[in-house]
Amino acid sequence: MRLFEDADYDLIPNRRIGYIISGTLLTLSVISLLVKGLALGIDFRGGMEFVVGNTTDVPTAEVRSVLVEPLENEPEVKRFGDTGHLIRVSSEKEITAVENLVINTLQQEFQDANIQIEKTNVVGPRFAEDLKRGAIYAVLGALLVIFLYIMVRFEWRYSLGAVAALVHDVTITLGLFSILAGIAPFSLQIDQSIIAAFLTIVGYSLNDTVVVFDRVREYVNLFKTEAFDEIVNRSINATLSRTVVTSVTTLIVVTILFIFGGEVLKGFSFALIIGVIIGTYSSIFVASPTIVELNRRLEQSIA
Amino acid sequence: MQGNGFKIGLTIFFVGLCGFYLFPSVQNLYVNYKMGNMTQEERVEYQEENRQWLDQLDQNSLSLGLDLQGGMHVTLEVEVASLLSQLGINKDDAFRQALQVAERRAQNEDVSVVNAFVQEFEAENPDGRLSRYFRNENEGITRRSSNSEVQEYLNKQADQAVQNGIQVVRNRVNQYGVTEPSIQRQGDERIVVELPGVSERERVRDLLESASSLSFHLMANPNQLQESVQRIIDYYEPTAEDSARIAAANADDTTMASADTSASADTTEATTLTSSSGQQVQQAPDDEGTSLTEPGEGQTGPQNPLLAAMQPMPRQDAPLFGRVFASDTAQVNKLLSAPEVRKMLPPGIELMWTANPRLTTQDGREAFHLLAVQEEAELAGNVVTQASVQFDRQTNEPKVSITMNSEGAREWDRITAANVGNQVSIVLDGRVYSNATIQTRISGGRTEITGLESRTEASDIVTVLQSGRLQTDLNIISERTVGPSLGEESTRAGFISVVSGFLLVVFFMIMYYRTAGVVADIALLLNVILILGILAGFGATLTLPGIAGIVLTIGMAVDANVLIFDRVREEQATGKTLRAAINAGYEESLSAILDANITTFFVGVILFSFGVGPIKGFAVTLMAGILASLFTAIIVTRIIFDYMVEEKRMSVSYG
Repeated sequence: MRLFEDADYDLIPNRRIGYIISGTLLTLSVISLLVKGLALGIDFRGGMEFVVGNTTDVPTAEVRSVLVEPLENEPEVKRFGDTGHLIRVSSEKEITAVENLVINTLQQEFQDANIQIEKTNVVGPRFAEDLKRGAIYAVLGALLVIFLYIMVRFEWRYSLGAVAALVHDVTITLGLFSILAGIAPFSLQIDQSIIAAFLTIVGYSLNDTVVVFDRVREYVNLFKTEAFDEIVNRSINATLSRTVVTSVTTLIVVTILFIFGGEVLKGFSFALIIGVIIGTYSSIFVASPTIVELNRRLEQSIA
Repeated sequence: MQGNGFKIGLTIFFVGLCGFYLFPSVQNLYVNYKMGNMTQEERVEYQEENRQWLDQLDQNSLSLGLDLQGGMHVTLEVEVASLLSQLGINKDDAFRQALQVAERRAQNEDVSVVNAFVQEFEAENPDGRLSRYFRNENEGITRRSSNSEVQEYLNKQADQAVQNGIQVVRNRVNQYGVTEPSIQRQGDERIVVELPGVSERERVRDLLESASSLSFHLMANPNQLQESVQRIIDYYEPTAEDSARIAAANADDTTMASADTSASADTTEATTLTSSSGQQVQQAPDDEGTSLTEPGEGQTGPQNPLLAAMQPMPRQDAPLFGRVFASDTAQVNKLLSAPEVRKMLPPGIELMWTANPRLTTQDGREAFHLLAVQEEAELAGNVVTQASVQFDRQTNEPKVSITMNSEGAREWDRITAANVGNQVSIVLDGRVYSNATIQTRISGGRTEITGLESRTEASDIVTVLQSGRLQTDLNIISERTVGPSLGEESTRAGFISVVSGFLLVVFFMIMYYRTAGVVADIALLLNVILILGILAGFGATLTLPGIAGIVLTIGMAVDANVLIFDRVREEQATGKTLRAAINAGYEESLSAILDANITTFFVGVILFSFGVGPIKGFAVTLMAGILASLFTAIIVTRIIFDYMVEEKRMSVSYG
């Protein structure tokens, strides 16, 4: 089977279409991030989280309403998998006290169901602060290291192109998380695993970009007479088959994770699905055009 | 094929190494499967017979994270602020205010409490000397000590408090009886405790958070204690009815019980030979202890459950309740916690374990002593101002020298005067670290503990005295628990994802690249084995995010082969022969493969350094996956192609 074998699409000449798509997505993302913001998970906000099992027949709203009074504030209640509920509480009280309040109340109110606590997650405010700091350092550190590595291996233009694509990918994925939070039927809160997913997206998107750039570097030496625009376009087309195949295999596995990986990995694998699609798109329509534009500026300033 | 010898050797070496590390895990799976088919009794018997081997298997197997096998993950923080407050003398408003601000800053910034405290104090009191709060001649802090010297001293104290906290937590966890707990220090002030299979959240929280402090306790009168021991053993003595009932119910049990008895007789012998306790008195041959163990031996009926787990050790000079192997301590705790039994102890007496094993048998089993200690402390540990290891001038034996402050010395004088000949114990957190007989009245606050076994024993006691005299407060700042059923569900979800992801990618590769696809799939299979081998070899744990990392690697690992194969196709299209095209394909795509993978590897490194808990597991599998896929995609597939094309002269289809 051969896909895109003799691909010869006018991708660089039509890069403005890409600009429009990216521009729209970026604008929407930034607006949503500014207006709606991100729902931070317990890792970065602190608080307590309980997963109770055997609540298949208990409506979510009822779980919430019976807990309001004993907890003295409204907890966040969601379905967790097929058979349970996730209850998020922000309380100053001791863990054991809150835990007992939750389980005793539920057991009393829904005596038919054999309700049990399946999972707890408690993060103190100071620990949350540390995790947040760690996450920010990780993302900034990753971007910096990548920038430096590409700069050493390629030229600064390529470096800028790669990082532009990365920022583009992460912003849009974050934006989608912000837009879809509350709409999607699974948790889209930002926690540690989402940060891990973002960094993986960064790695994946870079992988794609590097392959195209590597070909550009090769062709620049091979086709000395050709214009830079054309070389980049030729490189994208030459690697298009590989780009698509790798994207397909990666999409296969992340989709499987999304379907079979269980409730815990839903948000994580969702981020990866979005990331793989955007990362593939950006290496063609963001990273490559960036180096073309930069090259153009450079030539103009010389001329 | 020439020149491939090294590559083939390397491949065999790596695969062999992974096989070596994975072998126990595979064996473990098989054993568990086998045990799953046994009846309850068969399983217990099998486990008894092969305990050591099974333990070893468990230890060498790839371990599952808490999110997969269920359990508790707790992060504790040592309250350094309260430690500073305890250390400080002549505290005034400047001290208190600096401490308050420091506590708040440590919460919001990346700075330790000690450093924040010193900075705050210096900022508010430019000419102030910290030494006036922390004067301590024994630690070399005088009135003239500079602030940075004090800071160093405080950091050392904080460090010791964390070490002490770890020791306390370890003791409590051991007492609780968890298999394979992990207790690790994290950063400056934190302790991470992982308890697989634990679901009693409330109890564990109380256990971990309760404050600990050092104290001196008098002990029970040995004679009085032995009466209690006898009464408690009698209490658990099976009645004639029990014997008849149980003997009738199960003949197998009887044989097992008597086998057990002979085993415990063996260990009795071993203990006398290697007895390591500090007390010099040996057991007399006509000792009551022998007669105490007898009831279980002669009879064919049920055994006294207490004697099955514990060996009584009557002594004239020490209030020793008995000796118990580490594996039996939980059982003994259970038996002795019955209210009726507690009432049989002398009034005001509590049973406490020794902190360290007093005996280690040749096959590595450790035994602890159970001592009878007065519940009420005579003296708090904070009277100790200095403790050190010294050596006797004449015999050169190690000894511990303790100095107390004037208040403590006065009390100590009174206590020792009234109790010459009795034993006193140093207790930290409900565990006895040392028990010694008071030889004379001790006035003046200088005490020596002599007759110690080794230098290590002496320095262990000194560590406890130094670090334990301050109260270490531990707070839970984060906790994750996963119930066993959810863990099982996650394991199943992970397994399904790995298998289905693998099969789909394998299928896709064959569809797209034909023969070459099959070669890539062989590499992919090897890749998964290598990842698991690397994880087992480095003793990493497999978490759910870790499994996600493996699934993701399966999808991305083929990328290197995709790059190579596409390049081979391109080269073929320019009219090259198969052999030349393969050569060019591997050569030309190498730089892209390396660049792409090295950058992703960096991301893994960063994730590993900043991530916590399960995220680290993801980072580890991601990195292992990159290394494994580079190896299999570049080297292993090349060997296979070379073999097919050059050796067998086959024509390989790249689809």
